[in-house]
Amino acid sequence: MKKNLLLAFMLIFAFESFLFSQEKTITGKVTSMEDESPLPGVNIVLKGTNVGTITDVSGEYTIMVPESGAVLSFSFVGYLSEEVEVGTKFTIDVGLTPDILGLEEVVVTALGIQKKAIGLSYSTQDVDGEELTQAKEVNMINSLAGKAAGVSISRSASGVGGSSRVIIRGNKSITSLNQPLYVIDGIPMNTSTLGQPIEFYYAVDNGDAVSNLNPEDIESINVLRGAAASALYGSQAANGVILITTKKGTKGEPKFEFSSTASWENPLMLPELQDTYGPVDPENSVSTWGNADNGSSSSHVKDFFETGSNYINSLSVTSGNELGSFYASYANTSSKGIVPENTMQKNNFTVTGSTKAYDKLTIEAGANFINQKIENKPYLGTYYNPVLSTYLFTETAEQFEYYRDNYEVFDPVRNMYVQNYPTAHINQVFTTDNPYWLTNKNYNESLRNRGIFNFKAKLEITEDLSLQGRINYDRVSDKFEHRVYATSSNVVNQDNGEYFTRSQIATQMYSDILLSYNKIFSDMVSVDATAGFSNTYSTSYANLFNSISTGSSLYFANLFNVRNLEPGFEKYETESEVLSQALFGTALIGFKNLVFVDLTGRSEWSSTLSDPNKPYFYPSAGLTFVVSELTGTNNIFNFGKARFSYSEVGNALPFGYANMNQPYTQGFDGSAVAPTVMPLSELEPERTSSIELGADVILFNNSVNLDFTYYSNTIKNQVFQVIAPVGFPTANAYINGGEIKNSGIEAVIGYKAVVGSDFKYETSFNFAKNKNEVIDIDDSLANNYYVVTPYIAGRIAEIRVAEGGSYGDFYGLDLAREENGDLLLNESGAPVPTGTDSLLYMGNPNPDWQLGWSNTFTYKNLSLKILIDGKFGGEVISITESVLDANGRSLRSGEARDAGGVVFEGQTFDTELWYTNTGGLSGVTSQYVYDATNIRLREVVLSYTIPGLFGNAIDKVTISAFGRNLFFFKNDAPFDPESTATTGNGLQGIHMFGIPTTRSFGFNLKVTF
Amino acid sequence: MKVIYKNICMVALPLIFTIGCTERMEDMNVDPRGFQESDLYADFQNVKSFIPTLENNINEVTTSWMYQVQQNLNADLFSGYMMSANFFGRASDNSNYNLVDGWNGFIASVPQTTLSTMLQFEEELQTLAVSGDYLSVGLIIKVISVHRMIDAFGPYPYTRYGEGTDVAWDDIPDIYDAFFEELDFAIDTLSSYIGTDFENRIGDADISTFEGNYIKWIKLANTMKLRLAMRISLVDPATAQEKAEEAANHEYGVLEQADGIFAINHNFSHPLWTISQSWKDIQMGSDMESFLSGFADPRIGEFFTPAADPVVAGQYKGIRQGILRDDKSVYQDYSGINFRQSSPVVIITAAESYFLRAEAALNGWDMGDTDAQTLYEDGVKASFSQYGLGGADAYLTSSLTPEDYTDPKNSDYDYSAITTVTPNWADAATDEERLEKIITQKWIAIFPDGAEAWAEFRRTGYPQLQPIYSNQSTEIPIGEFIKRIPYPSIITSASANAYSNAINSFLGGIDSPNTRLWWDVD
Repeated sequence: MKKNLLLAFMLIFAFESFLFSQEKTITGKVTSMEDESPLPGVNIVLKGTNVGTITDVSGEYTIMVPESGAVLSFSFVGYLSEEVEVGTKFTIDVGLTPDILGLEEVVVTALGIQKKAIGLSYSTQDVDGEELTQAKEVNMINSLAGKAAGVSISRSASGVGGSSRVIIRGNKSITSLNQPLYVIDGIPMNTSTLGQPIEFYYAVDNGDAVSNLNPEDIESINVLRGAAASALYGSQAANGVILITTKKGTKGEPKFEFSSTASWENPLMLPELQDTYGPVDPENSVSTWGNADNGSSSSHVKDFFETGSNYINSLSVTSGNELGSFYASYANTSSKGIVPENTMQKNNFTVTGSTKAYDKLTIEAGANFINQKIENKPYLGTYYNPVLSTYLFTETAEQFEYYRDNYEVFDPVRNMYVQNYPTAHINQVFTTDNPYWLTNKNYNESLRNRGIFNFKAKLEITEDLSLQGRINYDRVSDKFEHRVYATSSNVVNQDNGEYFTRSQIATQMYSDILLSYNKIFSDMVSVDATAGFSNTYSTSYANLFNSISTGSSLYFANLFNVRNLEPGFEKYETESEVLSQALFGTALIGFKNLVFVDLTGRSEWSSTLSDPNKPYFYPSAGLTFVVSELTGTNNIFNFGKARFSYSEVGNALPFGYANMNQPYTQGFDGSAVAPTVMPLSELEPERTSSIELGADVILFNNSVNLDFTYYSNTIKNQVFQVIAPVGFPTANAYINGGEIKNSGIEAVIGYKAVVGSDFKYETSFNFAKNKNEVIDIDDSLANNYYVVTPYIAGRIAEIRVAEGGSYGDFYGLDLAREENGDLLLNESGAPVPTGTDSLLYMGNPNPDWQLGWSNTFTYKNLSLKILIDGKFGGEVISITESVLDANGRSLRSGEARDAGGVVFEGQTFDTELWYTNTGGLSGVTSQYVYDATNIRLREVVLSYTIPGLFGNAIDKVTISAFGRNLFFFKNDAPFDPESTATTGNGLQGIHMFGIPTTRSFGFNLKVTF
Repeated sequence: MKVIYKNICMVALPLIFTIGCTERMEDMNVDPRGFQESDLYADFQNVKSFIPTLENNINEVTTSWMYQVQQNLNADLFSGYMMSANFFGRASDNSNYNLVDGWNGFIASVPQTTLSTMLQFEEELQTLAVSGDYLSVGLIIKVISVHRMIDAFGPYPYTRYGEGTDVAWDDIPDIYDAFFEELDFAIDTLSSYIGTDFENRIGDADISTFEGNYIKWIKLANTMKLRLAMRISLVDPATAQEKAEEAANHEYGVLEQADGIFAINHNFSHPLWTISQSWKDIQMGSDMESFLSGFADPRIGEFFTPAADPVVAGQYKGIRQGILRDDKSVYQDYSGINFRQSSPVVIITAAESYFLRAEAALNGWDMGDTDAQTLYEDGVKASFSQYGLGGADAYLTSSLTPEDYTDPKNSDYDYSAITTVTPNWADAATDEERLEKIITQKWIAIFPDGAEAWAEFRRTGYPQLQPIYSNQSTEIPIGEFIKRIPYPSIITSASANAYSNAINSFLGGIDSPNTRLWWDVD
């Protein structure tokens, strides 16, 4: 059956191979020179032909060669290639030398162009696919945390299917995306999503693109941190690039891999509540400032969160021969969050194949399909948030159980089930529905279907010159709906319930053509050059129907469809098209293995510019000097290179901004709504210029490796929206302005010790420090700052990009003081906050530096991996704690009452007076700022590999047990400082009733057969 | 470079089977689901569709929270009409003269939308052979809309709005001149359409209660002109008299009871319904309670809902102006504002024109064959009739005076009535007392137009309001009232130079809430 399938597949690509008239059979074995172990999968090619084979599990091979003049070439990843003249031999055993120094190593750089690793003038960091699958995360990018220097990953506090904020070398853009570009096999991924929260109301995380992928399909991830590395991607790559290389078919008999992961998770940290003091007026208030007789609950919080689970099962198969190969996989992910009813189902289908034709032509094609459904994503922030409702429950744990079992009751008047909860309709700034009502009767569903299809043809014109064309189509469709059942909190909902539905289809058609030339001239000068042209065409269509927060409701209660919306609901339809084209070239010229010059240039046309016919050009240049070629090597100094690069990257404008004739839209009632914003003057593309210098050194018999990099990048001409000067035709205007600089250092230090033949220890530190400076911001902005997230009632901080400050600084209130420094008190003796008109600097959420420390112990087939990860410096703010205090829910407020009051600077205040005046949604910011420094046990993986079972019917079985986010060695904040409310730019560092970060444990079984 | 790019399109792209290079690139950068006004030529919607947009934007009707900060949380408080139980998470706010910049920005941004929309509208009018009537309706709305902002802030770049990025500002007298000029243009132009085929052709594009009736629009313009004239009657009596007499004695005159009110019909919820009944963010002010209860005025039940708070259940109970709050629930169930969701949003009442004329007649100006008392009494009758209430005649003979205010929840807030004004004209002995009657009754009649009521209070000192309880301003002395609103940062930051020039030239160098505007003479 397997063979038939394979045959069928091969027919698609099949071409006849040539037969040789006079042939003989050569057999042999390929081993590693390091430890004489057999090497399976070594490529053996008859030089000058495409006839080839690969070694089997025991390193053995058989190949037919012509009687005379045959030369066999042996190559294998990580080993130096070897060529052997056959002559009269019939048996050829070969020992391959490990390529420790990477002298021959070829790395995949931007656009999938291969270059010599040794010649790269910038730093990149590879992460093996294994790292993603050993302790598998549903959003695989989280597995990178702590493993790549200079990459900061924050996960969204939003439950299963949540997205992650990935920042490489600091925040750069004031209003555009700061996340990196994801590239799969050289082609940028369509990163369209339904967006991220920008406020703490109606806030829902709509996921991200990278979490769609099946980690098992990934061969490796390469992080291109700097602009020099990513310059060839142009516009999209100013924030760095995460290059994903997927698994391809390999030659040989069909090989199956089955992988199964089961993991369970629970909250890493929960807020501490008091249970001594009860409510005063449970029908009208969520505060527990009552007396100690009626009590409240703290244990219900733990009971509310369930044990989350993730089950990921995948099966892949690969097979091939000299004509071609294929790879196919299927993965199923089934997750359940810690908030009840929050689930995710995901199916990934992948198939790729390649074949070689007419000797010179290679064709590759592939398709990916992803289907994902997430139900009941918890809303963040003030509305529909079950976490907030749970924390602010004022009665006893028994009562909470009652409301869990009776979240709805039958109402004979309305002839339907209605919500049952004391605080559901309290008129306040947030909503406190029954949390179980929210998880059951506040249903939401996100549906995503994604297809990625690609086709590639590569023609080897001569041995040195090749021409390649590719086309890739990436289509994402999203649908989101939210059903609010009648009798949900009447603070934001009308009597008959509410309905919200939106859909979006985003496509990206990418194509390029590359002409590559690779040659070494008389062992002296090497050239790797590529010129090309690319075309990217993206479209997006979205529509929305919504009654929430519009004052309109449904005609009939609990009937959720667009026809049932009462007039006044919000509706829109929007569409966009972006075309960008680029001409580019790159060349890496090496002199011996001593000096390399790396040059790139890219000229880009974009439909988003005011004149799409006017290209913008940007160059990069790099220089690499391999010191060890000059000094020679010895046992101590094995390898050393110094590198320097300079680059500029232009960033095209966001869709529509440059248009001087902005379109009209229509209001709720159909009336024409004039544009409210237009460019103040002609807009220019943003421009990032950066320098990078560094060194790579290998020492002490290849046991120690060091990478060191210093970088500095500056982004100018940022495009953002400001309030237009009064008298300008529109109220707001787009301008070019601002200058932000990020500079820092990154270092990776690795050490490897081999003790005897059975024990191996590897450790690695990765360190990164980034300094962000806002050099300039536009003069038209009040007080020289841009507000990313404004201070409003209900949020205790404002986030600014202020000249002289650092990106993301937050500002808020302090306790007001008399001139002599004493606390200023009002008539009732309560502390008074400083004015909201002059907010004070409170901190910045970005860490000063980060350190990841990984340790791998291997004994025979057993390995233990421990990853410790720390972020140092920075501050975070908790609105959660502030609100819990103001309502007398926090443990702190209970203990203070026990102790007779809050002692502040020697003065004792009545607890309720103190916290109701310093806490709450508009609390005194300075009281809720925490050091964000945290050190955690990020990952522990224990795995055991059993090679060859059942007479080699099974090649390999790997069983591992893992834990992630196990505990903090240090954390002073009352929550995980790394979790974030949004992966957009706003709200960073402000925590407000987010879903707690989880600790997870699990098992992974991988069988190869 | 363009040539090379085209060549690449022809050669390279077919090679890699992609969508062709396209001239369309130049037209891509706009959302095709949006549109330009020029796409609406059918049924003349390129001009007609502006009318509802402009009408909905005098008081921001479509978005309740914008109405809340455009007018409700400033002029509606300063006029003594209403008070908020909510503290909006702040220790003090506009109600305590601690002015909230983020709110007050909308006093500017809403009329700025009118101004931007007018620029587009005027451009589209070029497509019509005959367009004077459309332009006139637009200009009338523009004056009504912007006038509210000018009377809140003062100087503003009105006459050159839209001319560029750094427009010079106008002083208030120049803006008033421009208002008069625009109204006169509208009055003359619309008058010339009466009896022609074009009369009333604007039709149902006009979503107001006037339904495209040009004679009513002329009367509205005259009423607005009269309003402006009376505003400047103290600072520039000569111009005021000229403009007031022109308006009142115009061929079509000002709004009469039979014309009804100028109000906007809409498909939304009345913002005051949402703000008061749904959000419980605004309640009756203590001054309103004192006057209306004191006069046994039947309109109280039209304006307000009885309190639901058990302490004062069933009563009409207002909140003392300017108290400090930190718990919304204390006063949220005092009397709310009585609008239904579907109530039209009233912009100008017919009753107002009688009171304006009454004051002009009191000044001895020619208001036609009538006198101040008749006009005053007709004003009250027009107001009663607007609400379908009887008993105006009896009311006009009543000598009841405003009541003392008591707050059963906090006696610190209690106060005694400070005026003995009555509804009965005959009770007044002096012209000043007559003026107090006229303005006090106008204050009641134009409810809930806080912007106009606050401006007239500043000009005349009537009705006699109780100073706010807790004045948190560093500039306004205790016991005094706010005189204007300082420019919000959405104006000051983006137009820093023009702003500081204007402050220096027109406001004596300081941007203070304690500075009297041009027409507010001592």
